[in-house]
Formats: sequence, structure tokens, C-alpha cells
Amino acid sequence: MPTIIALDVSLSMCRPVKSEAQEDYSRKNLAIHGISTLLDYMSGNCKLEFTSLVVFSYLWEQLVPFTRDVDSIKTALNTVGDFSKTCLEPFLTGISGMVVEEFGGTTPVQVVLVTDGSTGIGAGCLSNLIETWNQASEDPTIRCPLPFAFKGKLIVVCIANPSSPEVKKALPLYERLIELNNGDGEVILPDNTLSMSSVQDVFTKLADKYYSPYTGLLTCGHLKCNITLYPSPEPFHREGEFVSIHKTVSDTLEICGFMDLQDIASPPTVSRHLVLPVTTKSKQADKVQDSNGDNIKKEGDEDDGDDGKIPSFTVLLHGSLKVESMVAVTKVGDEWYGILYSWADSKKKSSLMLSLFEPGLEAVSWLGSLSYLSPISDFSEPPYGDDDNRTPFPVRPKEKRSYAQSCVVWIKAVGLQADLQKVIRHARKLPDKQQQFYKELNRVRKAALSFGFTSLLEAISSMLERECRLLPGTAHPDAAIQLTHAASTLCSDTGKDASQTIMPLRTNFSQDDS
Amino acid sequence: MATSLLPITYCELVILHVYPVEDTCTVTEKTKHEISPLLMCEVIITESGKKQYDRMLQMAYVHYNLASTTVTGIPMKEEQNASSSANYDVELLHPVEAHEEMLKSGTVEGLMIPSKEGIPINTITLKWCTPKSSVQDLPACTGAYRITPVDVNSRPSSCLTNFLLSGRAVMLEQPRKSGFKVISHMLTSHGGEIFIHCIPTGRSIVEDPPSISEGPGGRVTDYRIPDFREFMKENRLAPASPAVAELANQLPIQRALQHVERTSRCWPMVINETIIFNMASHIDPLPTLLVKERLTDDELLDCKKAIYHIVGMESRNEPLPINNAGIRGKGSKRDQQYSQMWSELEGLVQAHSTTSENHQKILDCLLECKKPSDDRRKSEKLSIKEERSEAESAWKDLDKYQKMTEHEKKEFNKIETTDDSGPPNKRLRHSYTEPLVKTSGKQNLLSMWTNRMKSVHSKRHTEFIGRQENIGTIAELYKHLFEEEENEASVQ
Repeated sequence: MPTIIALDVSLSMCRPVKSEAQEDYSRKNLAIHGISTLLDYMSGNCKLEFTSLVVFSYLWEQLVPFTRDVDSIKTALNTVGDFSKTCLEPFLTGISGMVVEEFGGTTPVQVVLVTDGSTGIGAGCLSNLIETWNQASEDPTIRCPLPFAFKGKLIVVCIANPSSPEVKKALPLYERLIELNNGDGEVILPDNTLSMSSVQDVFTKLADKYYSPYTGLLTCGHLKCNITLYPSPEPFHREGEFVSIHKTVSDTLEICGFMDLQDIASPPTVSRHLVLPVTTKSKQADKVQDSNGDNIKKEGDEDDGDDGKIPSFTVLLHGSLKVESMVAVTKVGDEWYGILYSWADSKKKSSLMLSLFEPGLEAVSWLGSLSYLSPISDFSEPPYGDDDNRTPFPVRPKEKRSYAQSCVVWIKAVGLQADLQKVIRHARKLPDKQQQFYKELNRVRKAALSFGFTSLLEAISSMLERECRLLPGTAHPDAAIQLTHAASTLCSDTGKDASQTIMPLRTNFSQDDS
Repeated sequence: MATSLLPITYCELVILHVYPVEDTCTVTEKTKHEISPLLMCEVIITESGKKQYDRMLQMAYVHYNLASTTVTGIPMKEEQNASSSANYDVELLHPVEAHEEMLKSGTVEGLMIPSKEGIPINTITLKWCTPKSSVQDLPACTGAYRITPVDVNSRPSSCLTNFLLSGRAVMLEQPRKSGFKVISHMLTSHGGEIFIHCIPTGRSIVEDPPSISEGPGGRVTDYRIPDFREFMKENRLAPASPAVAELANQLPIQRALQHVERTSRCWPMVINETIIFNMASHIDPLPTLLVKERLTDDELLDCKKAIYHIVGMESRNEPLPINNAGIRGKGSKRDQQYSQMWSELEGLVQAHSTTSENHQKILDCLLECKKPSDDRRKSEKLSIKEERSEAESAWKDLDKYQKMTEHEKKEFNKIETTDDSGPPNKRLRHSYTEPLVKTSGKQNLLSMWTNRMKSVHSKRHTEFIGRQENIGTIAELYKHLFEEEENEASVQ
């Protein structure tokens, strides 16, 4: 996920760190050294991550917009100046807007706040701010910038001696910040006194925890491929009414079967990930390299040149899915599924993509329960037809929705008027529209009875009698007979019994007899 | 009280007082207040009729955490005058999550207005985009929520819902202050239900992905893509009816995983790695039948027929469809290709032999067919080798012998003398491709020489056609002489 590195550039960051070494460093130097460590880790392990550099003191500024070019951030770090006092409010409010404008509200973004434990003085200092924000729930005029408008962790890295009294005072404030961000985040301190190496350790620890790339195995029965996902899949948490769901993506992604892209339609997904193959060889080489040094790595590098020539299942899968416009339904965890498909970006470059459904078996209602998806060989009749001319999807719910059937709605006068006009329209075309006339009449009658709207029946009755009187002399004799019959039955006991239906009167003119 | 029931830990009591139209109300409204930690109470007063409906709709809106979207500018033909069209608005209700991104990003300013249907709620207006003929599938959508029109069966509502239920989709756009438009939602139906889909409006973090051709396996060009497309179709999924699924011993999705497992047991990814899958017309229907869970006796017979067919091909010495550009097939002799093909086929059948008894029978059949043919090949080779003779190659052998170090020679001879259970060529390093003939007893330089001459001679020699067709040593001459006459006679 994208990262904002937020560096405190208040004057307190210029305080020197006493060290036994010859040179004295400022806290800022240490922070920049630490950030470089993090950037190096990212360029080695997750080249696709977007990173932005923001500096803040009383004001804040985005020095480098979101980029994959780590070097541009490193260059910018060297030009960072020194400004006034620490004040978190404008910066925390500002980055919410900045991120949402860039990525929208649904992309998680990590914020790494690098500061020195001095929380500012006077108005706008952290202790004052937190006091104000604590009252935000009671006073709607107070706007707390946390939690962020986007989903994101707040990681506070404190470049300070863990034993200093200043830090001990600041720590609870930082922790309260994390709490305000729905508990999503962490405060990290160096283990030992400040030095280049202890700061480096802090950032290495951070990188290992939050930026270690996902590695997993994609399987399609016996066809297998080692893969990584970008961005790394996040664990899923949701508090339901009766259960809370906590799930993580397994390191084995199992393809259960395939479906047509058209059938899967546009399912809701919680996240999307590029599926990138990795070679077992380079992984092994890395492992050996740890113990044996540089020689082995060279070998690994040479092997990399041949990787392109060793068949990879992901390439086969991607090519086939693309041509056939299909998706692979993939199990990514316990009762958690996703789909693999070929996706093309704006530049028409296509890649293998994994979209994760929300965990659960009912994640996509028009597929039915995901655990009830069967291989087609289990059906006695081919579900896709003999020549692929039909589809068993979508799975339809048992009931039709109210908008998908003609139910009677008389909330507004217009609805009632329209229904009555329909009855009259058919009445004028008797005996041709006899069937429709009685159908509409009964529909209106039943609705009126179920609403207890019995006076409507009398009204309809008199309307029909009026229609009968107004019949032209050329009218078919049956029209008058049916209208009179309907008008009188409406007011009879039969008409007021909802279980009865008014039937046409059988006459000598009835079409059935002719 | 039944212990199996969930205890009620919180309750909201809403009392709705309805009074007749044009009447005065004597009850006073009370906002939500606490009666006990378990119980909240609220008194709502409303006039009956239209107002009661609006009030109750608003209560449902709050209780179910809904939001409202008004689709504006829907072009619709007028009821009375079909030639002219006017623009209509339709208000929809749906879970509030569908607006989450808009609310977060603060782009709703100016789009939020009081409900046009007169309900005391706010609605967000989104503009109808005239749909293109083909609906693009958008696996990128972040949410799909059911909708219902506020005025369910009014003419504009049913016009929109019928349009969507017919399978079309409508994109909804947000006019932004800056002037450019952003498509943020889509309306479409699935299985008779209409959904509002959320489309991410921000920059995608997966943009500009690394090229496949630069990654592992990217430079391989002979993937069996057409075959994998077939594989995918065979492994398609379809929904089992819940009634059937609940009766089964196994969840259908587990069955699907097993099916994928079975069909992928022997599946080379590239054309160059396989012979048998490049000769589908010859081995059909063997591969398709093998992956089945059970085989009928007829299917077993079909599988056996396929094997016999290959035996026939081999005996006729037909060429195998091997890509000459391939690495493995290159330059190898036909009998080597056949033995490679047989071992590949054995691998395929072996992989499925445990599925059922009939599967095992196919393997047995294959092994029977393969073994004698192997033996036959050996014996054929032997009989041919007896007669082979070519001075050059024999000299080469001799040269090789001479070039050997003393130790090797000693070893070579020792093997010859002590062990005659296996062909000596197996122990000869850098041995010439033509195996030496196995003879009983001691082999010396002279016997090697003569055998070599004999065998190489026979290689040059083309067998008399009559003898080729005949079994045994005596060939019947002019075998077909009378066949033609007989045929002619029968025609007449």
C-alpha cells in the first residue's frame, strides 16, 4: 500500500545527539538515515510501492508526490530545511484530503510519522490538541483529524532516547493518537540510546513488519507457481451483528475452477492485487546468500537471465484467461474466495490480477453460496448446454422484488388514479377486453379489500354503472350486461369477500359459446 | 425462557401515534430517551395517510442505515406523446455504504439536496450517462448494494427498473466543480435484483504493472494455451441447488478442487515438453476419459483401443508428430521417440491408475502393450545387429579400444569375461551409439570385429519386400498375384 513518510522538520529536530564517535549528528540526520534504510528496503522488496514525502512543523508541505522512484525521495531528503515548532493538526488534517484526492477513500495508505518526542509548546501542542479532540464526540464543532478519511495505519517513529523524560511524557500522547485512529497503528522507539545503528534497527524492524512482501503458492491442482501479490493482502476484520470476522489470506491460493467473465459480472471486491510470479531459484539463492556471502548471489543473478525461458504457470494461465474471457475462482483462505483474471491498465498492458471478495460464502449473491459451486462433470445435464449456448448463472433469489412485479402501490393519488383509469379503459372496450377488464377489476378490488378501503368498491360500482349508461347505441349488447353484472357484484357479499373472484357472466353472447 | 435464545441486551421502543387527517393531536412527541440501560423510548406523532408513509419511510431509512441517490436526467418517452421525450428523476434507496467514498472525499458538496419525493431525508444527485451498447465488466468495483426505488411502481421508476432488469447497465456520474465528470457508480441487475455498484474514482495503485514478458516464463512462446483453454472449460463451475448440495457427502466446491486436481495430474505446460499431447488425434479419447472418476466398460474399451492404435502406429513405423525445432525431439531416432512417447504415456496412465479398477486395467493394458513391444524392439535390434557390418564403425570401435587406458581395457575385458548378464555397452564409457552384440561366452577382439561387421552390413541391407511381409524365414512369392483377379471376379 502507498506510504506517506512524514518528517518532523521543527527546530527541535536539529538538536545534536551526543555520541562517542567523532562526529555529532542531529536528530534530523538520524531520521534521514533511518528513512533511507526504509527506502532501500522498499526498493529491494516492493518496487511497486508508491511513496510520498511530507515535511511538517507548524505548516506542512508535500515535498515529493506519490512516486515509485525512491531516489527522488532520497534527493529531496537532502534538501530538507529547518522550520518552526511542531504542530500536528494542520498536517494530519491536510494529508487526509491529499490522499483522498489522489487515491480515493478506499485505498489504504500507511503514514510513517518520524518525529523526536517533543510534542510542541503553547497553542497547537499535542497535549492541548488531544484534550480538545477528546471532546469531539460531545461538541460537534470540534473536528478531529483522526481517524483518517482513508483506511490507514499511523506509525509514529520517535527518534529519541527511550529513557528520556520527554519521551515518557510524549508516549501516552502518541498512543492516544493511535487510539483516535481506531487503534490502527503503533509507536516505535529505538531499543537503545540514539545512534546511527539503533535508528537503522528501528526502521529495519518497521520495514520487516509492515513492508515484507507476500509470498505464496498459486495452485491449480498439480500446476503450481510461486507468486507474490502487490499490494500485499491485508487481514480482514469486520464486526458483525453476531460475530466478528478476522481473516488473513493463506499462503496457498487454490484455483477451484473457472467461470465466464460475463457470468461473474461485476462482483464487489475488497481489494485488488497484481499476481507476479517469482522463481524458486532466486529465493533459494537469497537464502544461501545469507550464509555464504556474495558468490552465491552472482549465481542467482545469472540464473535470473534464464528465468524468462523457464515456463511459468501464471503466464499460461493469464494468456488463456485473456483469450477465453474467463476468470479462475480461487480459494484464498477459510471461507474466503477471490477471482483471477486478465486485467489491462490504461496503457493496454495486461496482467494477471487477483480480486478478493469479502470473506464469507455469500459474498456474491448472484453466484449463490460459493461452497455450492460444483464441477460441471457432476451434473447429469450439461449446465452450459450442449454447445455452450446457455449459462447456469445468475442464481436467482426465490422471491421477486417489488419493483420486478406489478404490485399495487397507492401511496400517492396518482397510483390509485392510474389503476382505476385502467379498469375504465378496459370497460369501454367490452366485450373485446372482457378478460383484461375482469383481471384489473379483481386486482383493484383485492387491494382495496386488503387495505380495508371498502368505500372504493362502491365508488367503482357507481363508475361502472355510469359507463353503462353512457354506452353508445352501437355498443355490443354484452357490454351492458357485463358492466351491470360487475357493478352489482362489487356491492354484493361476494364482492366484499377477498377470497372470491368476480367472474364474467356467461351470456348467450359469450365468446366461449360461439 | 428458552436458554437457546439470544438474550436481549438492548431495545429501542418506538411508539408511533397516528391521528386522522384534519384532526388535532393531543399527544406530544418525545425524542429518544433512556428509560433503563436496556431500553430506549421514542414517541413519534404523525398524521395518517401520505405523511404517515413519509415518516415511516424516514424511520426505516434511519434504522437500516440507508442513503438516497436521485438519478437525474433519465430520458423517457412521454406517455401521451410517444414522439417527444422528457427528462425524469428517480430516487433510489440503498445502504449508506454506497456513498462511503463520496462522503469521505467531500465531493458531495452541491450534490446533496432534500429528497424530491418529499420524504424528510437528503439525497445525492448523480447524473444518468446514456449507456453504451456493450456493458464492460468491471471487476474493479468496490461494492454492490441492492436498491429500491422510493416510489416503487411510478412510471419513471418502472421505466428505469425495467430497463435495468432487461440486462442493461447505467453509469452514474458526479459533476465536479472543476467541470470534468467522474463516473462513480453503476446501476445494473443480477438475477432479477438491481444493484448500485461503486466504482473507485481515485488513482489506481496497480497502474503500470511490470511487463509479463520480462518476468519469469515471459520469454517462453510455446505454452499450450489452446489446450489450457479446453482445460478451463472442463473445469468450469456451476451452482448446485442447495437441496442437492446439502445431501451430498462433500461440499461441491471440494468436489471442484478434486476435479481440478484429477485433470491436472499430467499436464505439461509447453508444447516442447510433450509428445502425447501433440498427437491428440491418435490417443483420443484416452486423455479425456482418464480424468473421469469412474469408467464404464465401454469407455475402458475405448481407452484400450487408443493404446492398440499406437501399437499399430509403431509397428507400421509411422512418424510421430514431433516438432523438429524442439529441443528434446531434435535429431532423435524414431524408435527413441517412440520409447519417449511410451514412457510419457505410461506416466499419464500411471497418474490416474489409482482412481478406479478400470483405470488400473488401462495401465495393465498399456504395460502389456508396451513391454512386448520393448522386447520386440530389442529382439529386432538383435536380429538386425547380427548381420550388421560396416568397416568404418567397426574400426572406430577398435580405435576406441586401443585408446583406452590400460586400466579401462582391463576392466572392459574383465566385464566381458566375468559378467555376461547385461549388454557390455552399458559399461562402456563414451560408448558408441550402436550397442555391441551380446554373445554367449567370452568375447574377444575377433568376435567383436566380426559381429560389428555383420551388424553394420545388415544396416545397409534392404530387406526383400516379400520377406518383410512374411512371418518366419520362408517367404511366399507372388502372394498378391491372384488377389487382383479374385477382386475383379467378384466385381463382375
